[in-house]
Amino acid sequence: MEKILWIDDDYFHIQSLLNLVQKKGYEVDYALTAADGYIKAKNWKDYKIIIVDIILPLHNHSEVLTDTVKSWDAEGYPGIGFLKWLLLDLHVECPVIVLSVIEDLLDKYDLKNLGVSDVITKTGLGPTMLTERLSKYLLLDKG
Amino acid sequence: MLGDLNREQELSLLNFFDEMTSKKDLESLLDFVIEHAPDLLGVKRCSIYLRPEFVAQFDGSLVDDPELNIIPAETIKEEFIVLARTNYPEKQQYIGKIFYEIGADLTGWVFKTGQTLKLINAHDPEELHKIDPNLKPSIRYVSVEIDKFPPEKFPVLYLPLFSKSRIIGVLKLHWPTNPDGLNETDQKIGMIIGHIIASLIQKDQILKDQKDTILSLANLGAEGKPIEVCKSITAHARKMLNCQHVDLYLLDENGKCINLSFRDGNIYEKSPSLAYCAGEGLIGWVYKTGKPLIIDDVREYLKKHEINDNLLLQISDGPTKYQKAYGDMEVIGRSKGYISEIKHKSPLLAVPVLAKDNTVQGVLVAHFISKRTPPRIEPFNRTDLKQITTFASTLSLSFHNDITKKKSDLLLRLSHSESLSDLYALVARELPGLIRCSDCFVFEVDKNSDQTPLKLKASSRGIFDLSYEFGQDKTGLAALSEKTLVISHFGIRILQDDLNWYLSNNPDDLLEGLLDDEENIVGIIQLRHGRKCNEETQNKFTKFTQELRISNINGLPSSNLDVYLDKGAKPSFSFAAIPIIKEENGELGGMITFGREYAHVPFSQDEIMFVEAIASSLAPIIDLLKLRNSRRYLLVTLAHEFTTPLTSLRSYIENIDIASENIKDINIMAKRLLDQLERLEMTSETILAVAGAKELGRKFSKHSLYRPIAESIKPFVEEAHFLGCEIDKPKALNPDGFPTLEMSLGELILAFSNIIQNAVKYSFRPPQEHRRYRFISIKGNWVDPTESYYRIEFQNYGVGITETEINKKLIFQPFYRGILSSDRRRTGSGLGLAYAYKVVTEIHNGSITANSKHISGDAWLTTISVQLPIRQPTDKRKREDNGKDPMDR
Repeated sequence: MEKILWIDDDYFHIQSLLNLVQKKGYEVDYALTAADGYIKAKNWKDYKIIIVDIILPLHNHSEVLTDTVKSWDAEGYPGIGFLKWLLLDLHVECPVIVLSVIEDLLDKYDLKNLGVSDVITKTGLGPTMLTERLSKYLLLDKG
Repeated sequence: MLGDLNREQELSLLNFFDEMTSKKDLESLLDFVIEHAPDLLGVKRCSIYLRPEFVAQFDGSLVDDPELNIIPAETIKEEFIVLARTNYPEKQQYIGKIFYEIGADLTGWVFKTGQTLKLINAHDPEELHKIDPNLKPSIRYVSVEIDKFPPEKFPVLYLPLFSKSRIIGVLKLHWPTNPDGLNETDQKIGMIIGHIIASLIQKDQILKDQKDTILSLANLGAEGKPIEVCKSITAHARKMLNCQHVDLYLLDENGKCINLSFRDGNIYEKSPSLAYCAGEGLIGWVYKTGKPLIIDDVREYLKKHEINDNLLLQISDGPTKYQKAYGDMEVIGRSKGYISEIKHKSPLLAVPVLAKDNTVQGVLVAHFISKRTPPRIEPFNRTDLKQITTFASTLSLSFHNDITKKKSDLLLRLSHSESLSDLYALVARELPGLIRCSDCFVFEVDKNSDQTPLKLKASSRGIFDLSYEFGQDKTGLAALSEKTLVISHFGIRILQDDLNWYLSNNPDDLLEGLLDDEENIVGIIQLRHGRKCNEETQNKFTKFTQELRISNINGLPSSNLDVYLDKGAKPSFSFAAIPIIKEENGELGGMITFGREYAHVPFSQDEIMFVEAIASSLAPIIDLLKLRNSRRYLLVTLAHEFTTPLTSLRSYIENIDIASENIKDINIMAKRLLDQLERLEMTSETILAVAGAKELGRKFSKHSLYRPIAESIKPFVEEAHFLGCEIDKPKALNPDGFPTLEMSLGELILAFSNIIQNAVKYSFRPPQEHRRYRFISIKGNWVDPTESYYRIEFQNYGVGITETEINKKLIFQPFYRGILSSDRRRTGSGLGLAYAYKVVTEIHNGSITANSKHISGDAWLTTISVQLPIRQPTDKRKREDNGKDPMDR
């Protein structure tokens, strides 16, 4: 089964967003912190796409905080540091999707130029719309 | 007859006349010479002839003097005018006729006595060649036919009046009685008189001749940019000062001198001269003190670069005293833009370039070495000084204007800053260039800090590693709250023993400790009443002024003390500080400290006032920007708090539709839908209550305390499990279980929910050895044997709360984010505990406290205790309304 990596501290509350994608045969692996995402994203080849929220806690204090992860705090939003690491250092080849609440951040950090495949705002988002947005990366049957 | 004059007498005489500066002085002198020359020199008659162009420079006033009745200036051409003559009581009567014309260049002419003056037609090369083979007909020589003038029967001495190698006239002395003609002494005295007249005429001439230029320069200074003024000055200097060139050394923002001379179209900017032109030595230097200007850094520079030790820049006021101090030396070479060697009688004239507030901007140096002019007895006179001072003043004015404009710009830009970091950086970056201090630091008062009230926000030297900061406990805040101005001097590192010694000897002094990561004192700032500024500033800032006075390691009194902001960094040199006082409440908002002035002189009142103006304008700007940030932060927070549950709601509803055939799935989703709705309501209720938009405590009823606790747990059980911890079942440690009391049930549930939500959010899975802490526990028990108060303790293992946050009850303030949970500040509303505090204390007359105990690493055991009165009326109004006895549990 193909997998999706979702890094978002709100995952617990909005996991139902991916319900439809899951029904179409994708497994969702999640990370609630940047530190957890750091570990899981190293195996990016296991994932079809990676979904990242910009507003993330750095770690949950029981996780090992590496210098790399610690440096992301300087970005203001650890998610931005995480994205840069993901795209510029790790050079992931799978699509990276940003899912966040705050739209102006997306403009401010010029995420598209960073190499982000798509930017999706949470406002008004539901499983159907999300599935539609992801379909071009996951080759889902829109029907 | 006067005897031979020695050199000192000559100079004395010259200096005496040199003090005469006005046109009136000149007239008096001429009268004096005419009147006394016959007696002094034993001559029959004395006449002074001046070139008309010089006479014409006297604004016509001398020429048109009715007493003299000299013909108007415009009619005089190519002539000398007799301005004074003895034996003509009516001196105005002997005027107007041309005796002879004379050439433009009479240099070197000496008219010997007893001979007829023979001049030749200067247009004739052959004739010229007879006088001097070097003379060329292209020069405008006009022949003088002396024969046209009746030859004198007695010896005549013609002495040219020189002014800086230019002949401006002729002094003619008639000796009727000396059969031997004129001896050398006569000639010398005549020369002296001629020189005096020449210098005075020259002085007046310059003032008149260059009046327009000077005014123009002044205008340039008032309107032009310093760089343009520099160019203009360089262009005019040679003509006006009759010197070879001028050099301009200006202090840059680092206190180093840079050479900004403009010569041959080249700008000698940032030449190697900056290596030796440190600014400190320039301050206080006064022209003609006889003390040469020596820039100490030269020697350091020499050592560093292993250069010939003759490399010195020394500026003297004249050869005599210069020689006394330094022997025969003059500039004999230059290398790469700086003076490389000084050997003998360096004819330099230098004046400081001062801004209006008397801060030294640089030095203007005129070089009187010229291949075209012969060495002069007196390289500089008062006129030269006046001229160069005019230049320097013009430049100063330009700098002053420039600085004033920059100051205005800074204040304007401050008010338009978009962020606090920009604001602080702007001040730190710009201030040293405007008040000429070495460093600038901007601090902000952070009352929420658990260690220090002052946080370094920006510095002119970049942002330091803020591993340790000003202040120790609350001492500093208390001291600073009294609006004291801290003037700190730094210079030596304080060792712990010295600090103890100082403290034991000066128990009344306030101390600010600088602690490193291990809480070792690495430096202190000591505050003590005293004064350091100049008198004016002192008067203005008496109540703010304090001075550091401390003994150094050797026990000797010292005004120095080090502050090391970083172990690897250079010490901070901070001499003065201005508090940023908030106008509305007089509280200290921050502080601007600035480093020492380059020249060890107090800051001027202008400078202090400027910094004060910045400080005054900063407080409201900081507040405004903070408010703006808070507003944005609030909106973002709210958007985030609402968007997540709304997204969930939408998802569940869509999923219910998708899973419409599976009842079990629908039930699960419906339950989650309800959970999300409750969460949304909880957020909304919390915001409304904390904002004061909703009246709390309207509905009281009697319930067991167990109920609100149990209700508040439900929404978080699953989430806690998801995060690796469990919410334990509430336990009453007292045998009779949880008590019953009158309560506003819904609000108490929400209050407890917020506490539990925080506990869940800040919990993390404990390691194996602390496995027992995996539970978020809720325990109840009586506070005291009389069973008046019941306490419920919510305890979790995870991110902790610092002692300061607990003592100051910061965590119960709306929007407050814990220091230790800073990386989580981007999620959550920051209103939960504020709501709980309000409900418990205001509605239920209880109290709420926090405690956090460090376990290991990042892990803390945090307890939120809620104490509720059981036997006391919770709310008299409600009690009367429902008539129930709240004592009944």
